[in-house]
Amino acid sequence: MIPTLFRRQKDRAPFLYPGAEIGALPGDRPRQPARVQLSVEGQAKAAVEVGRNRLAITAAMFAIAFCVIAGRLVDLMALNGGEAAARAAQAGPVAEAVVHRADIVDRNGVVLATNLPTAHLYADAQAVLDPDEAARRLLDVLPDLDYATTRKRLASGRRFIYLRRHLTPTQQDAVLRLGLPGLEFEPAERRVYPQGHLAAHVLGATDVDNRGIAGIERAFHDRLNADMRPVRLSLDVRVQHAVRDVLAEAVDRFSAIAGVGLVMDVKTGELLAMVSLPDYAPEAYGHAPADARFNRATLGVYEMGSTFKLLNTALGMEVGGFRPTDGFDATKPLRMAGFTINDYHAEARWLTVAEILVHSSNIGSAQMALKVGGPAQKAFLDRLGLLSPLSIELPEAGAPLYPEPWRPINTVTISYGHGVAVTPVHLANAIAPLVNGGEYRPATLLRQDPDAPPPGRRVLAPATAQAMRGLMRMVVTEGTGGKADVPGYLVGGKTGTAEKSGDGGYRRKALMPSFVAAFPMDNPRYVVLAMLDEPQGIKETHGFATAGWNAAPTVGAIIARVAPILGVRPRGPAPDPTTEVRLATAAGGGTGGRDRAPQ
Amino acid sequence: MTIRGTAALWGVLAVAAATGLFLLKYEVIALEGKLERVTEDIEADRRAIHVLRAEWSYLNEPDALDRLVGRHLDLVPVGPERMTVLDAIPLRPRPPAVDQAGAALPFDPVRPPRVLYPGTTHAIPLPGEKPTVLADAATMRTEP
Repeated sequence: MIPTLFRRQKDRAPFLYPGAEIGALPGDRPRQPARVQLSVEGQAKAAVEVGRNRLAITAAMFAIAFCVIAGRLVDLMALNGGEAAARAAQAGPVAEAVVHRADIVDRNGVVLATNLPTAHLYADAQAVLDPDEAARRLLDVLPDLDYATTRKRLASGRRFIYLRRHLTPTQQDAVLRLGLPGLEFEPAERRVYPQGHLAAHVLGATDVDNRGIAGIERAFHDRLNADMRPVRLSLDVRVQHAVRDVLAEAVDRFSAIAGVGLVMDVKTGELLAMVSLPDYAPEAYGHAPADARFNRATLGVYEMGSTFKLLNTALGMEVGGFRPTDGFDATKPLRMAGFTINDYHAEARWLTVAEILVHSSNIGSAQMALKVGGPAQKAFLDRLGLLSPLSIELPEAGAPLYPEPWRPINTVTISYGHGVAVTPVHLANAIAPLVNGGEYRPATLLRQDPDAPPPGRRVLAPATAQAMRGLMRMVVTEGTGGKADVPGYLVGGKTGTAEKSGDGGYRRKALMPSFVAAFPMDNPRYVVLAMLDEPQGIKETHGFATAGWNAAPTVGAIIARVAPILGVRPRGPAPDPTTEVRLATAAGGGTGGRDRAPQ
Repeated sequence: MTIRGTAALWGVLAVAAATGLFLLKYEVIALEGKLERVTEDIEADRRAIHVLRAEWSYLNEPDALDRLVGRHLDLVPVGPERMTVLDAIPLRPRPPAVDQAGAALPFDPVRPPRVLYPGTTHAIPLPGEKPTVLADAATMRTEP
């Protein structure tokens, strides 16, 4: 349009005075008379100029606006909208989480704790037509409601009153089918623990508002609510189940009050199983007795007894510079500060360092600790984390009890495990460096990257750790831990039978036997610990209630159950099935007989 | 070009643009409806998956499986005495391949089922993991 206007402007003939067109020559271009123009002068002319300018500016602005709109339309339709399309593509609803609290899973991804959508049933009592009938029909589908209470609530006239919390989708559907006016639902979520009791003390519990009140649920409360990626624990449900199963049987058989079972990976510090019995159903934490809620593995501190002799032996070799063949006088009981130190399995002779451990000699251990000295002993135990509170991802982390000041009599008693009280996890964690080459890694309940294990802190020379492995194996092959042996798995460990302290002294009949083991001893991968609280002697144990008779076989049974699960291959000459059986297996059952080679 | 021609051109363009926009708008509305339905379906599926995962974990609770196995099957936990390495299994001896007349027959080993990829399976299956595939062995090591 604009060029047209210009052309028209250009084609206009030169100016003629009015009447001058008459004098034009024939054949010439028709000439038009000059238009009669109003003569505007002065102010009037200026006003017209202003008007024209404003019109031109307005027109230009409209033109620009239309151009912009046109450009945007082309951009949206032809060029695919640019950023708008990108925004539409990225704002996917898929990213939203289904529930508002993240799952907790085991190391293989098995769900241990998750939120499930539920619905709270509430009543708008003003919309209820007949409270009697509504209550009666509601009870048909929700039999656990109380008729009188429900009727009273429905007749209360309040606009909002809860009738029942956490309906399952099936129950919600049933209530909806009643078609009763005035019954409404409020979406809610409920924490459920599909594995039940299995990992109760690790997971902890949540309250009615899904707030963590114990265990991992409490320690990771904010993380679970902020980030919907599941928290992956180091536990393995298969191992956890095997440990719990064996431990429950042991607690039952020996009529013990309680029990603790641990399996720890010595290369990463991961706890693959952590069981404390009695336990509870996490959903019913509030109704569980305090005894069941108490986490004996991480919160309870106990004098561990002779299992400390492993640490004492490592102390003697690492700090004292003794060799396993060096001897100590264990011929007669040791008298000190009014106490007499006796041996349970008295040998009454000079014993080597190895024999002190194998025969669990209190006298020999005390002599060795006294040679090394109290301060070195304290520093060594501190280096193994036994004097500082447990660093584990649970709020239930126990702090050790130890004497202050550290007198020589304490050095003597601590050498065989009395006088320092630690949690079972403390002990397992301190045993791990003894078998893994001397590196201390704090115990953890979170899964670690298997390719990049957490850096360890060197606490022991590799030579000491190597010697300790041999000594631990000797305790099982020749000493008090024989019942923990599992053919093929080279179990090594140490028994410990502590007397529980009562009012003003130790109670001779109240024992806490424990056994701490590692396997396979040629390349230890796992530390296993079992502890029983006041087991009773039974006929099969000839009335004994010491660790060699109850805790040691418990550890043996645990290892026999978990080693195949953990993929540890049996060593040495395996118990040999006959060739025929092997062939029958290889041939797939029934066909074996036909293929049998003639002998 | 005349004014009329120009006007006609612009008129056609305007009508075409209006029609295009009209069609585009309804297409967008239709697509939005479809997107909403798909989104709802996805949401429902994700909720269902979430609940089913919890149920799967519940049904695989080792304690419950233990009781069921004890009640219905003759299985016991795998002990160390049942584990060995493949190399420890002796090679299959050549069968006494003779026919009734006493002449040697071509060797035809029975082909047993074989576990595929034995190295990748767990000693005890993880809850939720597919069982090991059994397949006919194409080859079976045989004593020469």
